[in-house]
Amino acid sequence: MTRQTSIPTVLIVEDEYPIAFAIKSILSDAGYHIIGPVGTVSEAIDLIAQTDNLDAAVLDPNLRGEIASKVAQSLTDRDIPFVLVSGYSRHELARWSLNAELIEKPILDNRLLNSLEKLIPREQRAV
Amino acid sequence: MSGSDSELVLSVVDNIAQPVVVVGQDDRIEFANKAFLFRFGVTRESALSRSIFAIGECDLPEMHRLIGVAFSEDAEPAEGHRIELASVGANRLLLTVTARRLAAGKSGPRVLLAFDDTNIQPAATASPRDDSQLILTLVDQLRNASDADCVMTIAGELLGRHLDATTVAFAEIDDSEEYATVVADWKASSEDSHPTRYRLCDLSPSLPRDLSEGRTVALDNVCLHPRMTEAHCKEGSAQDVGCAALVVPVLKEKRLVGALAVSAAQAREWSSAQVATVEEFAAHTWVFAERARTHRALHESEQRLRLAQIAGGVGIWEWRRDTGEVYWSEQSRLMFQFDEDVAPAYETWISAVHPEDRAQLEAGIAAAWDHGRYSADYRIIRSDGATRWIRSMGVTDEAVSHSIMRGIDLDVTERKETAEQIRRSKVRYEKLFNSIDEGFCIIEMIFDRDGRPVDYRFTEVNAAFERQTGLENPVGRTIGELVPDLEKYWFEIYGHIAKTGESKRFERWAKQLERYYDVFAFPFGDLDEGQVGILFRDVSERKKQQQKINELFGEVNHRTKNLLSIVQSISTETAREIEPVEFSERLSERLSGLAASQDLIIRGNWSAILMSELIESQVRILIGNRHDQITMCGERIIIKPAAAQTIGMAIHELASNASKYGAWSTDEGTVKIEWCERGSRVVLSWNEKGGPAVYPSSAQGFGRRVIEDMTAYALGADVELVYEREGVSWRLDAPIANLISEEPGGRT
Repeated sequence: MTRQTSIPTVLIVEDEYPIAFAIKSILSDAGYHIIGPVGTVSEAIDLIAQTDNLDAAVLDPNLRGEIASKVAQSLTDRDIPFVLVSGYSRHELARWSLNAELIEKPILDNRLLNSLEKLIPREQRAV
Repeated sequence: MSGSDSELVLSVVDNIAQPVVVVGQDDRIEFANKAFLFRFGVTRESALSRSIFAIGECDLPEMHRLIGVAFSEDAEPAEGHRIELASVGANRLLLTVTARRLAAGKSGPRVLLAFDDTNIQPAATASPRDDSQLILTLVDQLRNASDADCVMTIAGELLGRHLDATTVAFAEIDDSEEYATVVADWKASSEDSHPTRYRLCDLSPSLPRDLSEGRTVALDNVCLHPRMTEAHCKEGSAQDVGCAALVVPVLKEKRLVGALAVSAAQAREWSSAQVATVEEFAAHTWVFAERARTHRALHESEQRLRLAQIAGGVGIWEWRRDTGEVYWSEQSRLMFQFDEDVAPAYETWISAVHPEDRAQLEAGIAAAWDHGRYSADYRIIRSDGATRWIRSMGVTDEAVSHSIMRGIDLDVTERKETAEQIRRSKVRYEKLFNSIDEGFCIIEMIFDRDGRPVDYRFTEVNAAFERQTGLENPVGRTIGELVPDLEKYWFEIYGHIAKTGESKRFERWAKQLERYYDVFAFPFGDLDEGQVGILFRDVSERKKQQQKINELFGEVNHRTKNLLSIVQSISTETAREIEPVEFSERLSERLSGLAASQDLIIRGNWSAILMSELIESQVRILIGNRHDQITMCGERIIIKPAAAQTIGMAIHELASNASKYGAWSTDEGTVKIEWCERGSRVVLSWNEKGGPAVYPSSAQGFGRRVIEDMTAYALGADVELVYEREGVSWRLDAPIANLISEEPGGRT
């Protein structure tokens, strides 16, 4: 996969607008290029398919009552790493077979940024 | 006849003094009583199934004829045949036997042989003698003798004194007919002491032969005294001790079995009259001794029977229909507590019976004379006033044309009371058993060859069982038949209880029954019976509720964290655009709006929020006292929690703007809020009029994003925001599915 730009691109999938907006602010301020946010499973899958240079994703596993397993699968299929943001505990997420790092809500800015840094290899980053 | 009745009759027949034997068609002995066995010297084991003709002296032509006649159909009872039992000297001891045909048994007709008392037939050639008075005295005295020793001692003394003898001895001869052993004797002088064992040929070389051929022997010069040696005898120096003796043989079945010896101090000639007297004495003594032995044996046996009666509380009675005579045993008398001097009578007995039971009992007895059998349980009132339960059973005697009924009485009061107590406690137990809500059953574990529990069978269930399990008619069936794929752990748990006797409380799923049970199981009865009692309750509902609560807690946690996230972003956004002076107030307002929506969401049990209430709750926070400056109108629409939160926030921002810059910033402006369903969509509008002129810049930042972007984002809605001269106009048009709960009742 060739990189058009050295700025990492991150997809935000979160159905709560204020939270989605907050994540977007945090990541934009940190210099990430943002795709989304989107709040439904189908929109998320469409965006994953359409975007070539996706480096990572931030995923709320519960989208308007629907478990986002399909979105997670779609990301995994394309080797795109992601973090989960949720009010659910790790135990409950394991029940839905969602295995990724969990950032519990309410989100701390640094916690989210550190996790994304670990997901995206350093050579792909802008200095 | 019931088992216990026939046992009773048998034991009575077995214990009478008259020898009785029952012979089948093949002449084999089917029954012989103790008197018969004793008289003929055989054991019961050896007598039964043996031919009657193989017993003692029975193999006589007369016996063959007697039995043959008795078996023939129309024969009159044949009586009076006499058979020889033994011989004593020249006397013959005879038994009279009577034969009578009995009703056919299983293996054909049978003959009863009854033997009368022994008679003595004196020798035909008896010399004239004058001892009849002596014999009468003997018989008179022996009649009262209670045992054989006593008989012989009395006879010995009488004879000894009559003959002026020194010794009279009764001896038994051993099987080899070689030795005689003295069993009883009389001596003129108490100082004398005699040996008890003699070799017959020592007394006289020809003695054994003479005796065994039935001849009475007179001996002269015989040494019977221990102090005398053979040498003394030869030397003729023993005259003063006993030199003359008379020995009378007793033969039974042609074998020498006993002897009577009389010795005198001086040698003497025995007259034929004396010999005859001694022989007759011996014969009578033998008969009486035998009779005493028989009586003793029967008495002992009778005592045992009596003891058994007392121990078993069995009374015996007999009732003759023709004469009305009644006999009752001591035990029966005690049972009824009749006085000893009360003569046994039917009237006495029936008057002791409880009045309520009397009529039925009398009817039963009347019928019993026809049927031959009688059995009844009835109450009596004893002389001490106590009421007792008696069980009487009787049979009529077919041998006397059913004119006699014999039977037994049992006091069954304790048995009755126990049975009644058991019945009462069983009724109580069953009532309890069937009135409890819990299911209850008793099961019997079934183990395989290796002792593994593989199934169980229901032996008892209560009324609630079916309600608690849905299983019909389980008693006698196994759980394997009723619920083929029941989880293994049920067998394992119950099997363990049945084996170890440990009870257990547990909760488990029965997936096939789709129920969850709270169970208490415990060993029932003896361990080796493998029975388990199970008390159980279907707690599926409680379990479901518990699960729901657990899920709900998880959900609450999740939603709380979500809400905090929203609060967090509202705070961040508010801080970005508002001056620090106003921050606190503005944030408080927004959080109040969020809290108002949350109130409704929780009140609607996280499923249904009324649109009108949602809008009103948001407006109330900001409208102040301008109630006449608002119009709300719309149909009853119930929306879901997520949509309510979004709409709540949007209305809050609109109302906030209206109070700061729009319709509610003056006294003239009004706001009209309307909502309705249009096909598959819901339309909600906010229209301000009469307020100050507004400009797009009036609403900005976070508030505007909430009104436009957030509603569009979260509800998939088309949102229109227009800043008209008269005021702000906002219109939300969203798919109904994104607003309204899909759960049943969501649109009521």
